[in-house]
Amino acid sequence: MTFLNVSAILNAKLALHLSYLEVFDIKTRIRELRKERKLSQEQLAYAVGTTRQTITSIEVGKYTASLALAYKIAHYFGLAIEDVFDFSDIDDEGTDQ
Amino acid sequence: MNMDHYKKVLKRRMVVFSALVLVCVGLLVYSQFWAPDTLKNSAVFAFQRGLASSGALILAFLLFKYCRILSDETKLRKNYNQENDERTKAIRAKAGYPMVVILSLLLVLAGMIAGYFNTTVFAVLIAAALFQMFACVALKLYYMKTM
Repeated sequence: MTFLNVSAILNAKLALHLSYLEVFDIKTRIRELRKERKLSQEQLAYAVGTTRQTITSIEVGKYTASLALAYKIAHYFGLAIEDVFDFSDIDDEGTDQ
Repeated sequence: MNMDHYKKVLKRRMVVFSALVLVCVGLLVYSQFWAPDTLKNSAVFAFQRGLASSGALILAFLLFKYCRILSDETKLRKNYNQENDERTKAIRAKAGYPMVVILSLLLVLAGMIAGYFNTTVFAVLIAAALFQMFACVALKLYYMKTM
């Protein structure tokens, strides 16, 4: 398999992953938690290994964090993921249990 | 990845970039002093010289940037975060990186080779590569605003 084919497959997989993420509009409490702890977006981004722009996008709801980043943010605040991210929109859609 | 490993990655990149700068400078020296006059007057050769000069400048800038980053732990961590930021990766993937860049470089390479035989083919291939890269940058800017 050529390098170009591998790159194309990886891009397609990432695009699929992104299209899945865009289905949900997840609200967060990050801004509120930051204000409580007097943290800047830059400081939080540095601590969780991302950029200030990403934190801004997550806060305003333009971008949905990956599970790994959501875990890091929640862990940083000492809370569970569902205490930082609001999954009520997903819950409303119903899941087979 | 810990920062020590990332430091090694940056040092490896610096070695590769230094080698590329030497190649670019070598090409420029050859083109200035030893290239035949018939070659010097061609548009393709002038384009290659311009490409080598700009490549050397960009790589030298990156080398300088990496030198500064390696001497400061905070900058190192910030650069690591920047390079591995998931949103940035998502924006790049949506804009077509790295395929567009690879294809554009291949078009430029093909254009430079074809240029020695036909100038029109050279111009068309370079224009196609430029258009592709501009489209990619425009998409990246669009997704940076919307994501």
